[in-house]
Amino acid sequence: MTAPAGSNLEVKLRRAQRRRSFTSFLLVAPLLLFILVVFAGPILSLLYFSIDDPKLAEVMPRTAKIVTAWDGAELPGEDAYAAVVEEIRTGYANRTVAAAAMRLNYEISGFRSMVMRTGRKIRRITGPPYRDALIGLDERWGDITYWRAIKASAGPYTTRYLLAAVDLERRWDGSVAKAPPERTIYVEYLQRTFWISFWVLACCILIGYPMAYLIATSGRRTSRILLALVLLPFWTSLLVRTAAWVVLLQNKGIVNDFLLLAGIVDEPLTLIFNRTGVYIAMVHILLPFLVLPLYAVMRNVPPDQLRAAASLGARPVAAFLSVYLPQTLPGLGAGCILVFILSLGFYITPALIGGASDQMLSYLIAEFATRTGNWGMASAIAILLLLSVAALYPVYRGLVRGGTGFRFG
Amino acid sequence: MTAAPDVLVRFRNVEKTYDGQVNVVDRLNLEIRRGEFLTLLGPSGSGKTTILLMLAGFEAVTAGDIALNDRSLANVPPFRRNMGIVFQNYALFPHRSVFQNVAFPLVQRRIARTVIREKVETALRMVDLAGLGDRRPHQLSGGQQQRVALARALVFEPEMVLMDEPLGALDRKLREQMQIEIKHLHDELGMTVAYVTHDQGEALTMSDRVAIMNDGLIQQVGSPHEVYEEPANAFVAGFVGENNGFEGVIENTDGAECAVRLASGDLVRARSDTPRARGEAAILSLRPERLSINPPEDMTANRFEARIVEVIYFGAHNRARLAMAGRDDIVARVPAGAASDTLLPGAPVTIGWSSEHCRVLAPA
Repeated sequence: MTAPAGSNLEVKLRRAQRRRSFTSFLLVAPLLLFILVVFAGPILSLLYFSIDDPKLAEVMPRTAKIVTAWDGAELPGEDAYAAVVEEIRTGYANRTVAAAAMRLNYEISGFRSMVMRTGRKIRRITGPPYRDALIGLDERWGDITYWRAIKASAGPYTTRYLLAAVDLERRWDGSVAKAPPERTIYVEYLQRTFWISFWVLACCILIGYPMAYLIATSGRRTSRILLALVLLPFWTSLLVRTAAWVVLLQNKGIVNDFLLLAGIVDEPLTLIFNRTGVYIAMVHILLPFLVLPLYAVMRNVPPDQLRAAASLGARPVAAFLSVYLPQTLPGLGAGCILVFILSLGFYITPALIGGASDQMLSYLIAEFATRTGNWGMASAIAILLLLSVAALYPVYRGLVRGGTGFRFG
Repeated sequence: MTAAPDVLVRFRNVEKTYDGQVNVVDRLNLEIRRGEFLTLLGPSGSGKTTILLMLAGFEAVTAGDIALNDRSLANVPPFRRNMGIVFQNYALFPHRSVFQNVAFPLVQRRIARTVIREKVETALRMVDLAGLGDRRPHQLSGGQQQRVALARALVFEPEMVLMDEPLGALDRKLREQMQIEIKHLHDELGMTVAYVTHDQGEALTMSDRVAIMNDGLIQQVGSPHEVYEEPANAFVAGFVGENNGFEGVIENTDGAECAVRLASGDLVRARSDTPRARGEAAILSLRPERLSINPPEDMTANRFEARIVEVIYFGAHNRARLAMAGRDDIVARVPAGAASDTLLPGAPVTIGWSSEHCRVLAPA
């Protein structure tokens, strides 16, 4: 008679577990909702913006339909010209054609003014054949590259922004190729962003590791003061801190005054509007993100670990490498990934302290989003940044998990 | 005439201060003989751990000198002192396996891989951990971790082994078992051990010699028997084992035997190892197990009337608290048996002890 009793017990257990998991779901529900709204939502919309391409199809639906069906090998037929004439005519009258013209201009610069001029003169075209009439207004309508540009803009979705973000473009025949040199700036920005982030991280480790060690191993009073000094910058905004560095780093700023006074340099160093200034300010701003996780881990490494290593015959360097460092790797990994990811997205600091050649990807995003209103490009670069960060996640996992498994010597 | 003992470590006038005002260790002169098990015993803050840290090289000596094999250790860094240390919380490396932990000192000494394997396995067998080499320290019990620490401190055949309250974190039963095991290991391997503890029972069980510390000063150095039966002063008598202390004044002396007048007026006969003068203040020390209730007729030296205040059952023995000479904190240890069953609180009894077992000590 134990079997039915057992299954009965199982049922009870399952019911109790279901009740409990339902309660816990209710508890996390607000958080889940919050994450969906403020995190998943924006990322999805970003994805959508980067491939969304409705402008031309909205204003010139017939044209879009015809050129989509067209193979692009030779000039399109009369029906395409007729559609363009009619839709530019209505679009010009409704003042909607500018949006489509703007989109076409992304493909070939000058296309916008060409469409607007065609619009101004469209009254002169009274009847077929539209092809000759249109070419008569502007002979570029007889150039196949312009038609291919229309085909590329026909939407409703496009990969041009995503490809452009990595310096590629799609040819009229569908093949992907390297973009012409005047447009290949994005990979350079990406490389520069990683390069700056790498050096900022390296400096942060060099300064932050000994600093965290000092805080973790000194007496209570000292460590509290040091920790407060590390945290102090957090109490002011990023913008204020950056602005403060602008003041400090100027040719007649405090840093240069001090260096001159101390006789370390003979003439003021150029510390601002160049890479050096960007490094100084970014390292200062990001240092706490490395020190805090490191400190948390180091505080939990018992002080007699190093003594034990020494008593067993390990020289100081060997003791550090084989006993101390491996035990702090999880904290170091967490700190590094924080610093690196945060620095990938830096905008204000390079914008205020750096020169033209010190701007990072975020600068391009801001440029596209606020100045030229090209949300497609802004979103595509944002996705590039997002993917760069996501690619680092496995590295982080490896560091944190492997932290207790690493072997040296 | 016996040969001079083979001295391994010699502390000469060693002093240590952290704040420049108080000496945590003061005028330390101590020899550790080759192959002996020496325990530094004292209450916390008595300076015993500081002595170990100075010997290991983790703390600098403020004054004086420590010599190993007659060579000063002053400029020898910890990693060259060749001393195995067992720490109170084991200090095993959590990111390494048991095998790697034990192999660590051998790897540091660049010993061949095959030799390392052999030595580590021997060491693990020695501490009954054969087959657990692949585990991580946190997968082991406290007692097993302690054994790993022990194996790690022994595997490289160090000059000596230092142990800083190594059994403090274990429960009582395991602690007693490990005490015996460490003692057996010491007997087998013949290594020199300096052992720090505040547990007098541990010190008596394990040691060849015990050095008793208080306030940075060594109070007495001697075999467990000596420090228990012949305490040098009132502190040692009180710290090692249970003790009944009486204050009094020497009334007269007759060779080793003295008569001491207590404040209550009672006269107690006791033994003194050092000559005492009449009228000198003295402290008497009497072990509870030396105090008999209803003593035999022939024990005539010290016989007093007392009253039982309370009896506490301890299984193998009873502990009776007695009132006499104007006090009610005199403790007697009565072996279990028929006699002890008749002890009832409030009952008047006769108590007594031989003068041989009551010692006259100088006030601390």
